[in-house]
Amino acid sequence: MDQTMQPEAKFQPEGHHESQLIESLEPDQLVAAVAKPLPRLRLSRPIRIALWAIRIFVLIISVLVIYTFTVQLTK
Amino acid sequence: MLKCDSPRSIAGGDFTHEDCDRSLDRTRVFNARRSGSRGMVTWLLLGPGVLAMLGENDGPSMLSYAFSGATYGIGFFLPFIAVTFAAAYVVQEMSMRLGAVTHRGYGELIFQRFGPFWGWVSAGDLFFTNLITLITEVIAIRIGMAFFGISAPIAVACAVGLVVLSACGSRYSRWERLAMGLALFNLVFLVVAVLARPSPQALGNALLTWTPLPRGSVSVFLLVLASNIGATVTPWMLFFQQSASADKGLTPQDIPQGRLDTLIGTVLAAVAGCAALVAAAPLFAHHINMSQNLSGTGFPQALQPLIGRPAAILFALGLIEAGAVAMLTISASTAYAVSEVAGGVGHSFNQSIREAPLFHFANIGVAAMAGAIVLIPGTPLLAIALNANLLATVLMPPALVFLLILANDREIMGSNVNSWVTNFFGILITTLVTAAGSAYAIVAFLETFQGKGH
Repeated sequence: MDQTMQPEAKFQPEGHHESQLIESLEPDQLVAAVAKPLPRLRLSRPIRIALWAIRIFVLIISVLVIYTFTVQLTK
Repeated sequence: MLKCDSPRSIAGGDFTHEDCDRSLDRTRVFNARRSGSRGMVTWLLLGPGVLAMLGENDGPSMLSYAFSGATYGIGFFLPFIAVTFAAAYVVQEMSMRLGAVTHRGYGELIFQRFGPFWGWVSAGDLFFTNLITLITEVIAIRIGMAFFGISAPIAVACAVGLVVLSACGSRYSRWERLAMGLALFNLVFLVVAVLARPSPQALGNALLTWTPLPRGSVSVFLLVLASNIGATVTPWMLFFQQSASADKGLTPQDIPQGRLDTLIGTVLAAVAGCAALVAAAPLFAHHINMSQNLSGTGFPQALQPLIGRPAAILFALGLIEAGAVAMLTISASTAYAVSEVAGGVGHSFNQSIREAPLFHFANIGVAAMAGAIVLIPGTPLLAIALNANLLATVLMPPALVFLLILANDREIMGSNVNSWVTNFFGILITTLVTAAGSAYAIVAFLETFQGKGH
């Protein structure tokens, strides 16, 4: 066992051995593994167009909602 | 024995404090599974689904359900609310599965797979809707506490103080169990509904025939329809359940329990939501117009002469609870989203304020900002409360499209990609949510533009 591993009070996981604790996590679940970014998804042209179309659509609808909301406030 | 307070090097990487805390929780699940205790495995893995669903039964949602009952009775909207929760299950199951398989939050995945532009746009949408929704949570707590004569500043301080208190444990499991304990009080609306003495025949008739159908202004009906959808299927739930599933440490092996967690949350939340509608239905029967009476002590006071003071007290307590749980979950979803898209910074309840300053700052900061806005004199609280769920409905379609693409991304999901059935319902839900939000926006805009606004 590592020399630095001293029993301590604050975060002492009683009753569990280090190897059991480490094995209970999947390798890709460790913070060090999750910190590595995934590669970018290669989006096809139709998907890119669809994403932009829905974003523009939502912006237009949001403008209508905000306009209605503002007019109702002044009534 | 292992020390959890300092990073150590294993297999070429660091085993951090956060890993250690998560591995402790996972070891309990591992031991319960090895001993064949299925009940204990389910109990240990219960959390993100129940919290996402009961957290969404928040202040504006319960007010929306109650407003539906007060305006239209139990006819159409009782089965409609049940259907919207079924839709919420389909959506939330996808986000749980994504979190369990990728161990990453929703904001993080969008940022990494679609690039920084879409990542920041999604986080921006979420921050905006969450801030508006949090304002309405504080309003709900204020309305509930006003019924007991508690002043607005104290109500706001309690709401923000709860978020600060919940973040002090530096442990996801503690935060989760605190929120779950509070969330169970959501079922107080069921007691109120029973005290309102609804006709079993009318309830059965509504569930089977969806009648009587709503009458009156089309734009008011569409507003209530869109608000009810926004009360059950919202962007913050996607961010929250996926990030919380990853933070809790769910793995692909836990997906069946994750589904059960989501299903239990769906059933509990649907029961509480329908109960709020039933509880307020006597206002419809007595032709009491609640459209201008949501502020102040609102529903509890209006209901008191009809269903009695004990039921009105419980309704007020229910509003306080609904707002309190949502303060925790919606602040958390904002914190997850902001720190995930910022990249390279801590984003876990298993980390202390020193280890994840942006995460904790966003968690507490957005709650404090909402509280401060509510205290500004002249803020249109009633209008904000009515439009908060609508805003969630309008901004939901892009979030659903990203979710569907990610859940079908075989590169990250492997064999856990969506089935064709899930895709069918996912696309159907996206289409209906888009149609409902757009229909209200267009009809209300045209009426307002022509000077005929309600």
